[in-house]
Amino acid sequence: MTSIKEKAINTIAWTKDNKLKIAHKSGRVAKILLRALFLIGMGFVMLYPILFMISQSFMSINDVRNMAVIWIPAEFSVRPIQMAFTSLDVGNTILRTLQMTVPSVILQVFTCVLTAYGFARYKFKGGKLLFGLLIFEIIVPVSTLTVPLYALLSQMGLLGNYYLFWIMALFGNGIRSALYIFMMRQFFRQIPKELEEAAIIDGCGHFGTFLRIMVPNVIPGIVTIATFSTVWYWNDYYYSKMFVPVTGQETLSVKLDQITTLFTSSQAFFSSYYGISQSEIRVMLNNVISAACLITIAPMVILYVILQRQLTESIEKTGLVG
Amino acid sequence: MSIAKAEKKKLIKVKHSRLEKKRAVWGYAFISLWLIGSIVFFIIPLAQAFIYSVNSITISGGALDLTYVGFDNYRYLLAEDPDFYTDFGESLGDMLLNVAVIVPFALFTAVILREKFFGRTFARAIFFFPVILSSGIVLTVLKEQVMGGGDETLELATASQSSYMFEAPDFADIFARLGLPDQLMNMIQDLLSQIFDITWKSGVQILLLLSAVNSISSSSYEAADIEGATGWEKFWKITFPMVSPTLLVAIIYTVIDSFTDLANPVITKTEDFMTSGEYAYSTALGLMYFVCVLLIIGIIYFIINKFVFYENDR
Repeated sequence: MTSIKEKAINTIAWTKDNKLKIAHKSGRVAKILLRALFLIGMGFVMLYPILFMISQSFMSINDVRNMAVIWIPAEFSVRPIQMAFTSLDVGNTILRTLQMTVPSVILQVFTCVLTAYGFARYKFKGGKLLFGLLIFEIIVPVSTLTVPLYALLSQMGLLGNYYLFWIMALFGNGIRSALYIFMMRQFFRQIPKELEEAAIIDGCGHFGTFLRIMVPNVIPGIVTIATFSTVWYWNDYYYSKMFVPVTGQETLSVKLDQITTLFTSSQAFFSSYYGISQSEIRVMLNNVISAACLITIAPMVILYVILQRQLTESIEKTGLVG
Repeated sequence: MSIAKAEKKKLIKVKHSRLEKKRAVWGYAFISLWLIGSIVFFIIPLAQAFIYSVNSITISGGALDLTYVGFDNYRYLLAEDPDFYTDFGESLGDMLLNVAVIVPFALFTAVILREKFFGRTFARAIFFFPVILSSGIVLTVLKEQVMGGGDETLELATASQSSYMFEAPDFADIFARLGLPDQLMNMIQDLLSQIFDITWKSGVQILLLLSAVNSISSSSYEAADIEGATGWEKFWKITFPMVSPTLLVAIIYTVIDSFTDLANPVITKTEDFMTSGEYAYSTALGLMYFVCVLLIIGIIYFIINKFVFYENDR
């Protein structure tokens, strides 16, 4: 009696197990397919403008005129890129943009991490009020403060020079600093408190604990905000245009905005250089604009590809939050 | 004996409060740079902006000429401005739609990108493109000058249409044949065109959530695997609570991004007033808007923070 019952139960269990296995396997295949579909679809949406730019940047004049050429140039040509290089004065402009971006990013990340740690781990009088101030800084629309900030900076004699970006970054009020502080605070809050308590008991000072224990544990967070910071400084148009309105001091974004004018003014030069008429050069305008856009974003894409690998590696190395 | 004990207790208490005071000093030290900067570069300009908003401003010879008018600007804004409430309602609706679509989408993408698969590095890099492109003017230049197809078409296109990266005109035909009412058709078409824009706005959120998802230790998943948890259970019991602090950041970011987007109707209005020289009214509008947004964000933060799981505050 019991043995039959056991057998039945065993059989049922066996079939159930098998069914589960089959379901598991087919589920896995479906999952991989769905994932591939999702990623390819999204990839297309995300890559569309980039592909568009690349395709436009390598077209020859005949491709532009040829209605049959939509995506892939029939005659590969680097002229749009060359012309964009000349129009933007790429060498000097990139140097200037770097001069503005690199110190700003370093100073901004430094202050943001410091401030975020203070907010995440220390209790002090007025802490909540000051945190409220931080939230204010994130929310107030930039355009509301532009005019008074302009007046203030001109009084301080900071206008017209990139030092002002460095100074504002150092004092935690660079482009989107408040947001990064808020982000970093969340990263710090995820770290177990026992870690720093142990460090303090072991005789690490407050700053030592911060530098040697806490910072290594939030490297992914730091890389994240550093990446954002770099991109926003590099791409900044609003502040550069507003606060450094000096000819010969334009960053890449500001120059990109003027690309049509810049291209028109060197049209005669291109015409004699390539030996084609000016109106033919003019046909290439859209391609030159695309090429200029491509030149502007290319350093950021390269940077991200490098940083991205470091980011994943650093997580695997530290065995974070294990 | 008992006196000694009391003494000792007192001593410990004194020591403790001294320690706390020392900690507080360190707290101030850590935030000092930011605090100085905030006073100079934020509080002073903000106060100045408020002064502007209670004045009437004219420009004479490059200098601003202020005449005190009290709260007239605000009174006009709240009682008479025909557009403020409609604009604000519109941006509120946009915000809700953005949060409802972007945040789940970003979380979903981040979870997918966490898994190991062929071409993951490439896939991750792709999702960073929106951040690079939409943070600057590249997209604007591209949209207006190249994809817009010349000046003539740009003039013909309405403002709302040209703000979309992609159009979905083919769908219009399909729905027209289905015989749907015009209004519904427009809504669907709008939504389809927006899908591209919304995907493009989610780059920062995806990256934020990706780094949060990445920092969950794999040992918790291994333990869950041993216990026989399904993927669904693992998501809701491990991933979701562990990323919830970052999820809050992503939500707040989305809200702020939506409210301060340059295409936002109220922001557009402030810019318009600014360019037409009505600084005072522009700042009044900006400040009023800021207060409203602050209230909304406060409410959202307060509600959601209750559900956020902080590992340390257990």
